[in-house]
Amino acid sequence: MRMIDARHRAPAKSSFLGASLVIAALASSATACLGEEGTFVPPQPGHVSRLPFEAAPSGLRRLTRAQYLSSVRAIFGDDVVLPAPTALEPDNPVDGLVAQGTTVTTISPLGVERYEAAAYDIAEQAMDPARRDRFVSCVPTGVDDDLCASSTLAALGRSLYRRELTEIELGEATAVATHAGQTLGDFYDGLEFGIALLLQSPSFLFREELGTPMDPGDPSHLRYEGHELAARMAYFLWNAPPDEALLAAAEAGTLDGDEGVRAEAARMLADPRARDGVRAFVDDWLNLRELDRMVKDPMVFVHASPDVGPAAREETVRSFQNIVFDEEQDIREIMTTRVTFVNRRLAAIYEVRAPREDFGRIELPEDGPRMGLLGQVGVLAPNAHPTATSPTRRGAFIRERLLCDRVPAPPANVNTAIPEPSPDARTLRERLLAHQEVEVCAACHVFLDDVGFGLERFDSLGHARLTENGATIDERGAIDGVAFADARELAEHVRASPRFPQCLATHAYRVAVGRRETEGERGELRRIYARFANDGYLFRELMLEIVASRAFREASPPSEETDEVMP
Amino acid sequence: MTRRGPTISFVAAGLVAAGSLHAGTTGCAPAPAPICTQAPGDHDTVILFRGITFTRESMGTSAGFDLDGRVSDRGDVTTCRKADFTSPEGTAGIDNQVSQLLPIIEEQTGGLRLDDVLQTAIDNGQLLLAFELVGVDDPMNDPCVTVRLRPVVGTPLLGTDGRVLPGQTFDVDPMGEVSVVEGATLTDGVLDVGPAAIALPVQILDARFTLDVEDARVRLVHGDDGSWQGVLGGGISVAQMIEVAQGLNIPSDLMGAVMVVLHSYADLARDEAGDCQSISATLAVDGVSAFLYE
Repeated sequence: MRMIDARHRAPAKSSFLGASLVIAALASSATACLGEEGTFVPPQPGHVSRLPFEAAPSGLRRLTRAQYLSSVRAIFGDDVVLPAPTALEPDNPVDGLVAQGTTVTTISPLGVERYEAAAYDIAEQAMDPARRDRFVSCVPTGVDDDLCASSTLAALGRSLYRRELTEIELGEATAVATHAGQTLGDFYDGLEFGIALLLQSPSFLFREELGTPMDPGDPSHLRYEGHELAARMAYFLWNAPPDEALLAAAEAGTLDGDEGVRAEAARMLADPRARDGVRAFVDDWLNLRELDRMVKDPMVFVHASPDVGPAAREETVRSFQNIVFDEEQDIREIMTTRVTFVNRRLAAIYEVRAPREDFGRIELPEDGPRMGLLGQVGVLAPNAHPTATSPTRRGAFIRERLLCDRVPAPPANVNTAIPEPSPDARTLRERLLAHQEVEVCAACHVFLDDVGFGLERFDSLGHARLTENGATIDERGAIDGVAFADARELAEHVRASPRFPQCLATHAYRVAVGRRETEGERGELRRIYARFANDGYLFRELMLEIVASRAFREASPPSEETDEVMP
Repeated sequence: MTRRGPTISFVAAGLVAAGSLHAGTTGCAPAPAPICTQAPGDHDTVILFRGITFTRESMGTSAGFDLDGRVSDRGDVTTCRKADFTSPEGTAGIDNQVSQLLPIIEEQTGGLRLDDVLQTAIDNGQLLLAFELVGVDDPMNDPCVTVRLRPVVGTPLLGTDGRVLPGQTFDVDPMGEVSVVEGATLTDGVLDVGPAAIALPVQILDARFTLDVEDARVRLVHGDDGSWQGVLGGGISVAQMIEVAQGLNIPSDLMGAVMVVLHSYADLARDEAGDCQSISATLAVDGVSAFLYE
C-alpha cells in the first residue's frame, strides 16, 4: 500500500472539515425523527382501514456498516479490498434495531477518522493502474485536466451520492482533485483526493430523505421523489445502493407514480440482491449480530467454538431466504419448518447428518425436539447466559421480537438474583419458580419464564438435553393462557398467533423507514398488513406493499417533536 | 527415533486389533444367533470410536472377556500357563494378556504411552472406526441387530475438551474392509456383539493394514448422554502380527525381539505342539453417535 504524505491530503482534509460540520448539522436534524416507543395494532386480515393518513417527518439516515460496504462494493467492484466492518463507525441500535439507529445517530470524532482512512484507502485502490480505466473514461491531457477530472467525479459522484452532483459539489471535488494533482505531479494521484472527498461527504455517508413538497405552495406535505425514493427502495430491498436501472427510472420520473414504483420494486425483488435485503432485515429483527461475539463457557459446552455464532447467523438468514425466495411460502412457516441450513459444526450440535456442501439444506427429523426458528442456535444461544440457559431472556425474545408484546424493565431496588441450585431445586426451572414466589417479581417472570420454559430442552448453546444437574428437564409452559408441552407446541402456538405476522410486518416497516410508526401511519399500516394477510403472508409481497405505501413515499417536514404511537 | 514410528505403530495397531476382536462374555456359552436381516430399522445408528484405550491389569483385576471359557492359572497348559484375571465385577477367567505386555512395550518405546498414540490417531482422523447398527427397531431392546464395523474418513471436529465431538458426519472409507456381524443384541441399552470373525482396518502413524480376528466380542452400554461405553475383547494371531510387522520396515534386530515377545505372551489357540498362537487383549471404548454420508 502506498503511503500518502499528510501534506498532500491538505486539500481534501480542508474540504472534509466542512463536510464533517455538515454531517454534524444534518445528524442533529435527523435526531429530531426519534420519538417515544410505540406499537401498531393491525386489523384482522381483509379489513381495509379508513383512518386518515398523516405522513411522518423526513430526515437523514446514516449508512449502516453493511450498507457502506455494499455501496463501495457495488460502485468500485468486487475486487476492491473493503475495510473491515469494525474499522467503520459502529452501528447503534435503537429500540433493538440498527435500522432505527440510523436515523438518530451522528458520527464520532473517531468515526470521522475511520471514514477518512477508509476513503483514502478505497480511492487509492480505485486509481490503481490496473483498475482506474473502469472509472476514468477520458485520457488526461496533463496533471490538471479539469475536464477529465470533472467527468470522472461526476460519474462516480452520481453513484456515491445516489443523485447527480450539484454544480457546486462537482466544482469543489474537481478543484480538490486538480489542486492535489498539481501538488503531487500526477493526474490520477490528484483524482484520488477528489474521490476520497466524495467518500467522506455526508451526501454519501447519509441517505438524504428530505422530501419534496407535493404542492409548491404547501411545504407541509412532502413526497420522496426520484433519487431519494430510489435510494430508500434500494437500501430496504437490497441493502445496497440503487443500480443504474433504478437511477435511470428515478431520472425518467418512473418512480413518481404508483405503477412505476410497483414495477421497479417487483424487478428489484426478483433480483438476487433482494436476498441481501432480507438478510439485513432478519439480522436486524432477530438481533443476529450478537452471534458474532457470542461467548459460551468452554468448560461447560464442548461444542462451543468461535465459528458456532457466525454459522448460526447464516443458518437463520438462509432459512428465511429459503422460505421467501426459494419455496415462496407463507412466512409463518419459519416457526415450524423442518428445513434448515447447516454446516458440519451445526449439524453436530443438532445431531443430524451434515450436508455434503459447506452450508447445505437439510431436513430435521420429524420426531426430533427442534423445528423452526425456536429450534435454531441463532435464537437459542444469544438469548441465554454464557454458562446457563435463561427462560427469562428466551421468553422476552419471543414476547418482544416475535409477538411485539411490551416487556417492562425490572423495577428498581428489587433483588433480581434467583436462588442458587439446591437439592430441592436442581433445575433452573425450579429455581425460577421459586423466584416467582417473590410477589414483586412474579408478574413479569410468569409473563416471560412460562414462555421460555418451552425451550429448556436446549442448553445455553442450543444443544438438546434431557437432564439438568441430574434432574429431568420439564419443558412445559404456557403462553396467552394456553398450555404447551414442549418447544414444538410453543412454536405451533406462535405460528398460529395473529400477532406473529403482525409483529413481523411491524418490524419490516420499522426497518424500511428507520423509525417506529406514528399514529398518523396507523391506517396505512393496517392496509399493508391486510394485503400481507390476503396475499398469504408472502414476505416479498409485504416488502412490495411497504415500498408502494404512502407511508414509505410521503413525509412531513422535519420537526423537533413527533407523534409516534405511545405504548 | 527411526525405529519408534514403525515399532509403535505396529505394536499399537496389532494390539488394537487383538483387543477389538475376540469373544466370550464372562464364561457363558454363546446363545444360538437369531436369524437376522440387514434391513434398515427405525433406530439404526452409527457409533464412532472416539476413544480407545488399553485396559490395564491391576492386582489381578482387569476388564474384559473370558474368551476361551476357562479360568486359568499359571499351571494351565491349555493357555500356555498364562493366568487369567478377574473383572472389576468379580468375574473370573478374563483373558487380557496384552495388559502384561504394555509396560514392556512402553518402556522399549521411551515411555510413550500407547493410549496416547491411539488417541492422537483418532483425533487427527487417521484411525476412525465406526459400528453401524442396522435393523434396530427399538433403541433399547432388540434381539436382532446387524453390526457393520468399518473405517470412516474425515477430519473430526474436536470439542473444547479436546475430544472428537459427537454427532459428526463422516464418509465411509471406500478402500476399507467392512466386517458384518449378524445376531448382535440390544438389551436394556447394552449392545452385545459376537463372537465373530472381524477384519479390522488399522491406520496408525505410517502403518496401514488389516488384521483378521477370530471370536471378537464387544459389549457397549448406551448412556443417557448418548455415549456408548464398554469394552472390546479378542485375540489376534501372532503369525499375522509378525507378518504385518515384517511389512513395516522394522529393523531385523528389533524384529527378533518382537517375535519373541509376542510368542511368549500368547495365551490362546494352543496348537498340537503346545504353543499358543494368539494373544488376548481388551480395549476400553468410548463411542459417540455419528452419521455417515449416504
